[in-house]
Amino acid sequence: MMDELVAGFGAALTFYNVAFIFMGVAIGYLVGALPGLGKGTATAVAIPITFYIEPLAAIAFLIGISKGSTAGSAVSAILMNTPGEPSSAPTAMAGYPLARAGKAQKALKMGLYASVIGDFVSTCVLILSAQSLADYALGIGPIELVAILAFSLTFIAALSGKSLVKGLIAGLFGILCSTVGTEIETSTERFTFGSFDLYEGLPLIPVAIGMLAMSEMMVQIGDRRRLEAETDLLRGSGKPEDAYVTWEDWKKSFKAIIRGTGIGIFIGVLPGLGASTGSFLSYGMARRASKDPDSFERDGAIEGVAATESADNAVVPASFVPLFALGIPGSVIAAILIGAFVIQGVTPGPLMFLEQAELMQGIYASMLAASLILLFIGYFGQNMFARIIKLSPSLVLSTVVFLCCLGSYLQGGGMFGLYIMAIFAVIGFFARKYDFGFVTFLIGFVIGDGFELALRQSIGLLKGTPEAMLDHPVAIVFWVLTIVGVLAILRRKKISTESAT
Amino acid sequence: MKFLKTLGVAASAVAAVALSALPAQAEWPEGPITMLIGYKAGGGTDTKGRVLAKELGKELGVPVKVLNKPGGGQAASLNWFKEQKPDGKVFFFGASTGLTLNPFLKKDIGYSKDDFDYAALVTEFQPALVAPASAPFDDWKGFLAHAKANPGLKYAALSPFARIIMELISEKEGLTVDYIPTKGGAGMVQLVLGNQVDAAYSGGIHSRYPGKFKTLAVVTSKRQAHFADVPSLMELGYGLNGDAPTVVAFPKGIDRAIIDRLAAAMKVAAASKDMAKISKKIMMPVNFVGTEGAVKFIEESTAANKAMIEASGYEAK
Repeated sequence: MMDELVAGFGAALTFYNVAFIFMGVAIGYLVGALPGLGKGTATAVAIPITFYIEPLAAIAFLIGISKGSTAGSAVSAILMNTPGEPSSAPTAMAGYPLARAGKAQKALKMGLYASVIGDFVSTCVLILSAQSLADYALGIGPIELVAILAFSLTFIAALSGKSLVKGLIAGLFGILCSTVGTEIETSTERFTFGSFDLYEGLPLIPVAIGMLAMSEMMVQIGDRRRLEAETDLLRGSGKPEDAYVTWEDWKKSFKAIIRGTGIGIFIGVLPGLGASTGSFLSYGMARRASKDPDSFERDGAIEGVAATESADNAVVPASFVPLFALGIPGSVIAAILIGAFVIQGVTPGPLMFLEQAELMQGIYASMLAASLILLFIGYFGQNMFARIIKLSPSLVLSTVVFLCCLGSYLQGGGMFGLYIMAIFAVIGFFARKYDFGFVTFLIGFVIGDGFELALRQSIGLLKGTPEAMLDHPVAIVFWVLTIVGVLAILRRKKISTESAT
Repeated sequence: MKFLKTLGVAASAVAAVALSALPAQAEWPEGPITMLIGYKAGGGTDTKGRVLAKELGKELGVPVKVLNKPGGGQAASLNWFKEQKPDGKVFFFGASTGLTLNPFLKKDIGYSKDDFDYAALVTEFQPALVAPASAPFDDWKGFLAHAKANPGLKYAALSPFARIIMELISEKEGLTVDYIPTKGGAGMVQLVLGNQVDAAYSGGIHSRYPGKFKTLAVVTSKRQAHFADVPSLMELGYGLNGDAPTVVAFPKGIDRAIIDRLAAAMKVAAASKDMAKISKKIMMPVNFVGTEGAVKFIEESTAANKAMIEASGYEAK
């Protein structure tokens, strides 16, 4: 194993390959840092380029893009409160208040370090135990998935802002939106209103861009005076300790990063849960672990940024576990990569390690190299991006609006994507104005689809006999955790209402 | 100056006349063309389509872009495609079942086979009924015996057709089966490898996992090269098949010269080295059939499927 990896490094670390990894990470970071464009767009757009380069370089290039863009999406989340994709939404919640307090540089750096740590550890786990992790992932069937997703949903409470009821309303609206499209068993249309474009459901990226980025731009454009005052603050407090990560910050964030990396790997390995579940879960847990959870969104929290970004990035390599070992895509990125692999003459799945052992070791070596390159590019890239805040808001806002439209057009099947984005921008605008958590909407929307499928599969598998649950200890553990979580929320609510009176 | 302008107008007029005088087949394709695929990027049809598009681009001398419009078992893409102008800028590449079978399974599907003109058939799908390697039976006979002895067998169905096939078989054999819905081939593989179900319908993806699946019966009417000793459902006397070549189509009313040009280029692309490599990898054999054969197949397959669904007593929903 070690010998092969060393040989893989030999094959991977040619000037040609490293140049492509470098380019991939750089393009990914840049695209990820632009609001409205995320890893899906970046990878999908880059695939045609890879037709013309060698297989190892092509795959390494694409993996570089996915790693770079995942880390880059923290930049616009922290600086402009507009996450590039749903999985970075909690970064904006905890990071933007920090930026407003003049600590943008600090938050950006912590986001990057947490990303690189999560990514690196997860890559090592992938290399060392892809096969055994894949076997474990197969043991997690629909019945376990339902329990894990229900557990994730309890964190809606942690992310719902001031009012739990409003958070729940938004979350349920998200679940309702996730039911649009053809129903899984009989292909019956639901809420499609006769439009064939809606057969595959509401497209995730335009909905997320509308809800997260466009609505924020509408709020900001509507309040120019406040914005300009804030832009002054964003330029920095002038205090040197606000520009870098202090020992104190590390102490605060250390546990959050470890936990986030673990959660990211756990979620990433399970096909069909997605990066957003990982980062929402990690943020919610960091918040619950804190003595003063409400300060996260009020004053910002460096450990909130660390928790989200470490989990978000740990999901990416972990989602390659089912891809490499079983040929099943564990994330959107993995699904796009399947196409790229096949075009290069490699079929992802159990045969890959036998037929293409050398290539696989080369891919592993490239992934490790990409982690280090990410640290380098992120560090210098941030200095460049941080200059954005020195520009006039009108210039930045118009550019962001343009990029949002571009991203929705590319990922939403043309003009249809733009319409969807516009509709959800308006919904998001009012959600912000009336403090309905738009992040809880996204959790409902992202999880709803998989939750419904897993639930319906579970009902079939259990055959309506509740005692069959006893054969699923993992599911039972998560259901107990869910109940404990809900009770804790109710207790906290009771205490806070009592202390309020 | 004015003279130059007049000269310019005259020159372009001459050029326009000269161009329009050329036969149509020399003009097409004038610019990039689009291959429409009714499934998500990354699936079997998409993978093949992309390799084919690359080869086709070389042959036609223009880029061939791939456009994915997933949804409703190709219904989303076909309904959109029906509305396109028959100018050769976009053609459809997908499973024939979308045209010859699905209209009988679903009411108000929005299109019929008569909305399109057909150019060629390129590859064949290899669907089968499968079971996990751990199953206590090895073949179709064993499966039936086990299913009769253990009512309430779990069967993963990835499409309405996958479900209908098992419904008709269980009706004939008197089995009780629980249907577990799943999404796409990847979802099916997950359920089978995780031993969550006893049997499943596979569109062909199972052949990528040697030693992990047992193939009980093939759903094509003829036996498949990779599973020469596995009988087909037709042989077993169920009168069911899901024969599905990939078909190349245009919106109705396309110039015959464009069909001929695309079919000729498609024939070369289908025979390319990369296509051979990919079809071996994903085990979807290339079997090129020209325009006449394609039109004949669409007619025959539609009639056969109509008869099959009527005989089964299935009512379109």
